[in-house]
Amino acid sequence: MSFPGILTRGEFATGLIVRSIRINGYYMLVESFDIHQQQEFKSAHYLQAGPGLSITNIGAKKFSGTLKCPLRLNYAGELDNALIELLNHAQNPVSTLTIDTNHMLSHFKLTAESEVADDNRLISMDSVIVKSLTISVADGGLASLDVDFEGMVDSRTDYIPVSPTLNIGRPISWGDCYIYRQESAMRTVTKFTLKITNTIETPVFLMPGNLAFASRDDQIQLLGISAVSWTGSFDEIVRTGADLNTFIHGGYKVEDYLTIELGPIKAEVPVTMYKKATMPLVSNLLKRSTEWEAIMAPELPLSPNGLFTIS
Amino acid sequence: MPINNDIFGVYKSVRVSGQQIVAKSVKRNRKMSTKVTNYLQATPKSRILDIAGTEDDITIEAPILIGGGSVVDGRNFVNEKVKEILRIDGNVPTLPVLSSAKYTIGESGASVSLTLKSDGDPRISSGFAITTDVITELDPLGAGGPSREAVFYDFRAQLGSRKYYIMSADISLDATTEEAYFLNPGTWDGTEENSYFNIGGVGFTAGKQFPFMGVSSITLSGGGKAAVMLTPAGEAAGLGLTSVDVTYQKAGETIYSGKVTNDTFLLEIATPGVGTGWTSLFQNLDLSRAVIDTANFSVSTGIMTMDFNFKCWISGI
Repeated sequence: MSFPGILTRGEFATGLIVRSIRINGYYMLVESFDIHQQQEFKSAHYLQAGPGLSITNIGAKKFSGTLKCPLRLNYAGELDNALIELLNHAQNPVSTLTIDTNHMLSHFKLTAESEVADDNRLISMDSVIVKSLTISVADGGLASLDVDFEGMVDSRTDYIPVSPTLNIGRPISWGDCYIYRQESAMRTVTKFTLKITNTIETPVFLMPGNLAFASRDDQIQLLGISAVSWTGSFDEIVRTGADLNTFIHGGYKVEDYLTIELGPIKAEVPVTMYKKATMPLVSNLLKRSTEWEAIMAPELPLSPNGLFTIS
Repeated sequence: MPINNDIFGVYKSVRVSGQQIVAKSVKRNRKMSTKVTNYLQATPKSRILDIAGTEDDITIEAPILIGGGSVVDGRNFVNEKVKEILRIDGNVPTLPVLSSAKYTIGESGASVSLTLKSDGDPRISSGFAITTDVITELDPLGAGGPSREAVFYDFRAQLGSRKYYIMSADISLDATTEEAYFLNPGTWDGTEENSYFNIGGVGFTAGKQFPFMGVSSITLSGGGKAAVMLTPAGEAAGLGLTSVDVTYQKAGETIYSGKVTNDTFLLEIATPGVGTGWTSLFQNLDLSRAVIDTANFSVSTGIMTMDFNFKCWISGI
């Protein structure tokens, strides 16, 4: 077979171009996946008898990047398992998250002392954390999911090949969404976002005194989550006379139960801190924008289902 | 206008005591102590200047390098100067003499801040020179290979009983220098040459304002920052309470850090192809015995850290 591609010899990384990924072992469709092993170079010139760059400075390496995908339902109206894993990890970031792809080659050994094309492997990204996850829906469109990651390779294990396990389905759209709270049905929301932000620290340390020379590692050495916040915003079309008792003048709303539903996904915030709503006076439709952040018990993100429940 | 780099001097390198050193910046400060002295002299005009000895201080910021540049970096220069002070392998002291070397080792790089002292004698030019000499060791095709700055994965450390989660280390090697001036010797016959002496391989000048310089001691001390873990088992609860953090002494004994666990003080740099691949940052000084004398524990919403200081006995060799 000579067409449409060369299928008669091995092409380990680019063979059949399965561009989707695997999240915690589950197949997942993505629009784009831009997560790579990255390493900072901070080279400098010294008093060295010439202007040429002679001395490099090779810093720590880690995985970082972004993923964009639709929130997809199967024919039974169920969310893809990979999405469930992703949402559950985002709200409970101390849980495990592993990503496999067929194409993201990486390198485990010390960059500074390896030949640049040696020892590349498809390694499982087995220690990854969601740095931020944003769900947004606007103006009759599809619900989109944007996720930022950071991570490292914890144990050098080969990836699990990603093979499609597709069934029919469709992305969640505007018509699948509800947003409401205790005091208001919020009938005129035209746009909303929901964002999880996990503040991550990625320290490195000097090598321990008993470490063998060959065991040195230039990866970040730990991933720590020092803060979690859940925030969002919504825009409402203001209709004459309808805003008197829905205008949010800022502050806490205890037992507010701000609820956002996207098909089988339900996000519920019992206590919400609102910023003051703003509404520019313009010649076309008046839109009132309101930003919020969730107030929660400190230990809540350490357990599953603190924000999302998925039916 | 033709390209003229002379005033930028980008094609310059530093040579101190005849040895090339890759540097980030260099300062040479010379001063001749001069003050106006007024006597009962019937005029407010300055008639008498009191002119004393000279001072000549050189400070160098130099990186610590891995690869070909490792033989022309800051730590190599310090090691050579310590060899001179201790007269190892027949080395004799040359000006400028090492006054202090402060090492900074962390995530993003490692460097040495050097302070040297000389006598300010303008007749001696070999002590400090800015030249256009090429530093051949930086040629990436040379025997040592490409050069890079040493970073966190190029050091292994054990500061006291801690060898894990050490984030940074700062070390000071200080040499106490003293200066002395000599009167003209009795045999002086009026010529400058006769006031220059060479005793034991060390030259000095009598009857001039350029001092004789001596090193009377070497000390090594430093500190570090280490992350502290608080696991569900609560290991951090004992912080500050045991000799793990501060090397407390016992009556009638000398306790050094790690004595209980047979661990020693260790700060080594990666040196591929030599021994185990690790060599001491201070090649001519045995620093395996130390005490931790400060432990400052700091808790914030970020990483918990312990800042600690140590002082070393210098033994061996």
